Amino acid sequence: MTKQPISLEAVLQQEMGLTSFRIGQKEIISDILRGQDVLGILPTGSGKSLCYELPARILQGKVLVVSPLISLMMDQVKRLKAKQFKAAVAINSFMDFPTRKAIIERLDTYKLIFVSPEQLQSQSFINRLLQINIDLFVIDEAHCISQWGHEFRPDYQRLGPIITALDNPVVLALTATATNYVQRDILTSLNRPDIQKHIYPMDRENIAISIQHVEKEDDKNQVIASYLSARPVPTLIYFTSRMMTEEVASRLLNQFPHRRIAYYHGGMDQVDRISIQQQFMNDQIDIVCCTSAFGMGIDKSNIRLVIHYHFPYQMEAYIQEAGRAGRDGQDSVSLILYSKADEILPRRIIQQELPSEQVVSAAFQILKNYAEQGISIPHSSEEIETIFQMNEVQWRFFYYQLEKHDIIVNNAILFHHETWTDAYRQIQSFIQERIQLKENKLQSMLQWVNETVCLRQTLYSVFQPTYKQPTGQCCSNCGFELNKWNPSINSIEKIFYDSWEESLRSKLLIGAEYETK
Amino acid sequence: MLFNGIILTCTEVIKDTRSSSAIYHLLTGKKGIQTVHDARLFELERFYGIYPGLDKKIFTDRMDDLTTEGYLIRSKQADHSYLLSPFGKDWLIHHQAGLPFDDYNGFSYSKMDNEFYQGILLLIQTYTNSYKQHFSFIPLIDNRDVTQSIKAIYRVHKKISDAKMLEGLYDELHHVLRKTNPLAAKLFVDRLTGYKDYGLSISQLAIAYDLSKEDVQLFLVAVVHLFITEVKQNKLPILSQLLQYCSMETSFITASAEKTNAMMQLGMTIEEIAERRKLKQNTIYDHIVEMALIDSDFSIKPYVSEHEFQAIESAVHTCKSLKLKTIKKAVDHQISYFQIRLSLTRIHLSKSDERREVHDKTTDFT
Repeated sequence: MTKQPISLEAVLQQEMGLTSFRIGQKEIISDILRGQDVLGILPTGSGKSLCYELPARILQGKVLVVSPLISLMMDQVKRLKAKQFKAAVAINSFMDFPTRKAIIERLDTYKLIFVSPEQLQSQSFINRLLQINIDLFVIDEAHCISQWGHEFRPDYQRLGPIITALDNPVVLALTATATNYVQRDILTSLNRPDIQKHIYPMDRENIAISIQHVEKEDDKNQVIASYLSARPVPTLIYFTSRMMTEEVASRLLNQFPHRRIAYYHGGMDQVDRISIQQQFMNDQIDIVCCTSAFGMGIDKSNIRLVIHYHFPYQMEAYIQEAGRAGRDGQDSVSLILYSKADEILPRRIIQQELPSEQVVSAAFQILKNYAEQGISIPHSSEEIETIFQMNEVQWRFFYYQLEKHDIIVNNAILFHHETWTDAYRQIQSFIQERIQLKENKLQSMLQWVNETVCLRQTLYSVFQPTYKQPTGQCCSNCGFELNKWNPSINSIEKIFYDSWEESLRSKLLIGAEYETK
Repeated sequence: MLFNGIILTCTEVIKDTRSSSAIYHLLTGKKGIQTVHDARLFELERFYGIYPGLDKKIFTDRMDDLTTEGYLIRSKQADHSYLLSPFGKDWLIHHQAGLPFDDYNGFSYSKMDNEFYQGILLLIQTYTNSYKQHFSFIPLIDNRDVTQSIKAIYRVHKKISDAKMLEGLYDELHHVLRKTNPLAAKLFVDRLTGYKDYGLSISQLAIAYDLSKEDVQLFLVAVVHLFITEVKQNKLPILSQLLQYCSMETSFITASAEKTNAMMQLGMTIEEIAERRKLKQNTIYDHIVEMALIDSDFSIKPYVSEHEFQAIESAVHTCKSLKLKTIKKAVDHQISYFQIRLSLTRIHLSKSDERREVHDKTTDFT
């Protein structure tokens, strides 16, 4: 590897105030700066975003980041601004038109631009990007490109031609998990066979995996209680339903009135969400009952225990969520509570992600009528929902399929009897395939949960050839015992103030010694 | 406790002349004429819009609970309408002194209270972090209007040290908080976020003080309203600036009514305005009622004679009803619905009526 004129470490120190790179970061950044396309597979929490945040401060031109989740982009921009990097912006379809227009007009004043893949479908936006010189094209969560990935996003498949249209900037595709199959898909779809792969193992040697089978819901609460009373450590408890986060949090509070417990889900107001997130980061609370909405953008190093009250229905999601434990390298535990009844909900979710056979058949009929009568497709999602009986996710999927089969071109319906019969059959069978794929993923998850041999081996073998020796205990199939786990416990005393006056003085730092750093 | 108190207070005056939705619309601050009208008519302006995010189901569940627990009685006369029970009345008498009903001023403040509150939260977060030289904090508030105001205030006071600003803020907060309900003051302070000291969420407060989430929300709004009142009366320099940024636009009147108003100022008649604007006359009537509601100096004399007004007023009292249909039947058929609605904006339930209501209730329950 060639050495940079100024050492990257010096830039890292100067720009970000960090003293050393984490695994993989330096190698990836060096390649990018030499103009080499990179596929980076780095485990969750290893600092993927630094791989483009640092280049954004070094490169002359702009860095464009395609990100699948709007909330994720917004969070990231917020954190960058907090870190005094103001030249970051996120553009998405939820912005009102004047705001978006204003940002696009002064796009040249930003260095790091986050966009949703949908935004890149606009030709005028591409034209604007061509004016401002994009040096690096980043595809975050690149596994979304693959139909076989756990989060397929149709718009991601159109990124290849967009990169060409942008005069081929350097490409950086990043993801936390990708099987060989998914990796191949990414390369093919982006048409970058010579991409440099940087793949780092995702197994976490300091996280012991424990799966406990229980009969009924109440047993789960008992297991949780036994863990929480034996090991009062920073803990995340994952649920698939918002209501359950509230229910279990309040039950635990009754049981452990002195522990600092809260819940978090996407339905809370913004001040509350930030408060809870930051209280947890700041060690003001120890236990958060949450949905998968919690965690993205949380970089807390001393989470010791991640409990899955409901298991996620894909191994990839599980690896990400469990991987939030023990970022500081100390011994941590991932506990999955499993009961037979938990299998019902994920099956239902899978069904809801794609339009059913009947809905697709009806939609074709409606489109045919539209074509014959010269009616155009409605724009608003409410109209789509009432006319086609599809939610936004289903519609996006379906629309992409129609475009792929030349039934919709430039938002106009083209009717040819033969192509339609063909397309109809293909789309229906594709949907069945997708459902089957997700069913299979759920099946592998279930199979793993019911595994009798080493859980570590069976979990990681899908993604990588080997895995490291665990530093602490291995897994429940290799004899995990709660009492053999002795995490350091640094519980902070809850401070009580006699009066609100005293508390207000303390909050406002009245009479506090001024400390210089 | 507070939520219950507010519902009971509203029911006490509205009685079964309206369905319970009227209370819901009042609390959530529905913009329709009917709700604004009710607020004026029943002298419940202070509760207007104090809980915009109230969930309809939570509200109806609470009405049901209050009925089951004997505070409210379902009206036999009208569907979805309630009356205060003697038990409920008694509860109110014993508890209202401890509840901050008088701090609310929803009609005037509900448009700005949320921004003002967010401003206080962000101001404190900003100055405490700035004092500690910690500039990489995640702001609690995203709202652009609020962040801009805080930036402006921060810039204006650039020459004053953070410590001085915090002392100033402490004095202003303390000045107001000592006048408020002590529980409300505690909730307010615990929700504040300082340097590496994040405030409690609504549900955390609810648990810590053994209150419902609705009570926490309503206590906080009461404190914020008291803040606005105090800031307006006293010279609280920092918070006054913040309030100025938050109270730019406060007119309730709709744009369409505004246009009608302008044309009336030019001396055009209702017929002419309707013709010119291609609107129904009834729509113009709506605009006039809206103006009468918002502007207490608005004269209704050009539309209702003194004699007609008296007839309507006495019909309200004899019928003991505020229902338009009932009143219409009781007056000369030449008096229009428009005149009745307009007159209702000027009839308030006076103290003498209250005595009669108490009497009514005793007859109701026997």
